[in-house]
Amino acid sequence: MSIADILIILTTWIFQKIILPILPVNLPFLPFSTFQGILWGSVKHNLIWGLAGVNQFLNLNLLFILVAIVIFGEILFWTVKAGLFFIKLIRG
Amino acid sequence: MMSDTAFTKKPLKKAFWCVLLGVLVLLTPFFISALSSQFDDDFEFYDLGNLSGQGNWSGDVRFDVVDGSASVWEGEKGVKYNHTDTSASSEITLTTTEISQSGNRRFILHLKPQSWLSEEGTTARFFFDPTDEVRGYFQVFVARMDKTNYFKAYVYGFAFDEGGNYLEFSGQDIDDVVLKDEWLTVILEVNFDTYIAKTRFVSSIIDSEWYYHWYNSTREPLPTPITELILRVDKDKYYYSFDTLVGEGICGVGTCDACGTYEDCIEAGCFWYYSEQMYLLFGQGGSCIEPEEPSEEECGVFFKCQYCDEESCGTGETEGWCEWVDKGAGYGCYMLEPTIPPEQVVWELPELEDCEELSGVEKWLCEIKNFIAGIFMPSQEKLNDLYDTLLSFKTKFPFNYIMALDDFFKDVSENTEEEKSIPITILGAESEVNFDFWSASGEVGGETETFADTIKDFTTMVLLILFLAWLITTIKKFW
Repeated sequence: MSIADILIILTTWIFQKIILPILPVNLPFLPFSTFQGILWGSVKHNLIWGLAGVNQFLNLNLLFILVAIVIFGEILFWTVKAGLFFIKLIRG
Repeated sequence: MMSDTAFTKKPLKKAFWCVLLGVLVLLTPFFISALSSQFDDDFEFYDLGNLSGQGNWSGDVRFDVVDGSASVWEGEKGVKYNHTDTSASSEITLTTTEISQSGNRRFILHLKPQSWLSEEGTTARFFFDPTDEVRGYFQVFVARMDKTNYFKAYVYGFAFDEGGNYLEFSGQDIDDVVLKDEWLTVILEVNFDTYIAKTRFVSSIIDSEWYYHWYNSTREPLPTPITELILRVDKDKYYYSFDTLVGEGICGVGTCDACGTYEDCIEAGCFWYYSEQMYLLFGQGGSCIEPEEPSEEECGVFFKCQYCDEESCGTGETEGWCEWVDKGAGYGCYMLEPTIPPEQVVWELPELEDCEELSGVEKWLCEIKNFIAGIFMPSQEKLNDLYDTLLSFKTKFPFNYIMALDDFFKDVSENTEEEKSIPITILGAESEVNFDFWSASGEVGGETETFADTIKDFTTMVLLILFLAWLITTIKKFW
């Protein structure tokens, strides 16, 4: 048994016994199956048909990436702001 | 502005249509029953006087609807042929809905010979009227026996025995079937599947055997469907009464609608169609329908391999799924045993350097290097364990949501690459929008670019500028 094997055993044990059990599968307000169903149901087909012509003159890949960054950025901004608000609230 | 009545009308209208639809669904079996070729005419609802012109009857005016027990078999009214002029014959026709040409059907007529003014024997008969050909040889007579109060019957046509074997072409005489002023019940059963009819006579003096006959010796199907049933008196100066003419299916395959109960239906080989709504409303749990032939199974993959023959087994659609082998019970087409693919190694270990070909110090150094590398080289088994463990994260939040979103956008992106056409219709003419102009090319900055690429570059630049503007605003917000 190599050192790498021992490290892997330790890592997998931490993952399997500590991290994986506490990670949820579903969000309480939006179960994964519902989320996937929405995405792969009408939303996907409507989006494909809606964007079929647009793709000719718009870089959709870039658009999606930018939208994802914007969403992530806004969430981060409001999370930080909410954190600061609570800190102020606690400090008085 | 919407009035109060307009506000209440909509729900009422919806409720009305719902109720109507429900009633139609519930009454469907009754509509089917009403449209089927059954009839039961007891003349009770007709006006006294000429039968012709009432119900579906038409023909000679000398058949009268009468009341009084002398001409009535059952109920209050019957029909009497009651004229004494010298016409050769009188005929009246009941036009029915087309009588089904399958299954077993029964026709019953009650008739009563009453009195006559001449010594001549004469006849009353009834027969179907598809064509002249059938009309001549497919009928039942009842006639007075010479100068007596007894009547005899003829079953006219090509005679058969009980087994359906052809005997001869002759009228089969049955003497003494009924006395004057007594009712005779003539029962005629026609089997449209085996092409044979049988007749029986029942009165106070006889309960005859069945007499088998058909309109030709080869028992061919009727040339045209039966749509008329005719009553005829061949000579005048005669009184006959008729009552309660019945045409009905006999419970059996072909006439399953005639089976009244579940037991009769199943015994006859028909299917019982169960209806919960009918049971709740009427206490009758369903209706008898014709047996449904299961569709023939077609050769296909999985459990449908068994329906393939040698030629189709393992070819075409079934290639790789079915095989033609002998598994002990003779050759047949079987589903291929699924083979479990070998475990897939996703993360492969790098191989250590081969030191065999080296010699001397180089070999030593190579082996030392391999030894040190071996200390830090994991085994393939542990590496697979790690891979499987990391794979488990895919099913956990937030990775499962992120993966689903990633797959979603990938799929949308791939599908939007395909050029979709837009169908249009202008003044009834159908066509499609032409997007060829996107492919038109021109020189931009010394390089050949398509129109689509030029526009795309432009919109990409606009997107980046907008993103930059958002980025600056967001960073400023943090400050």
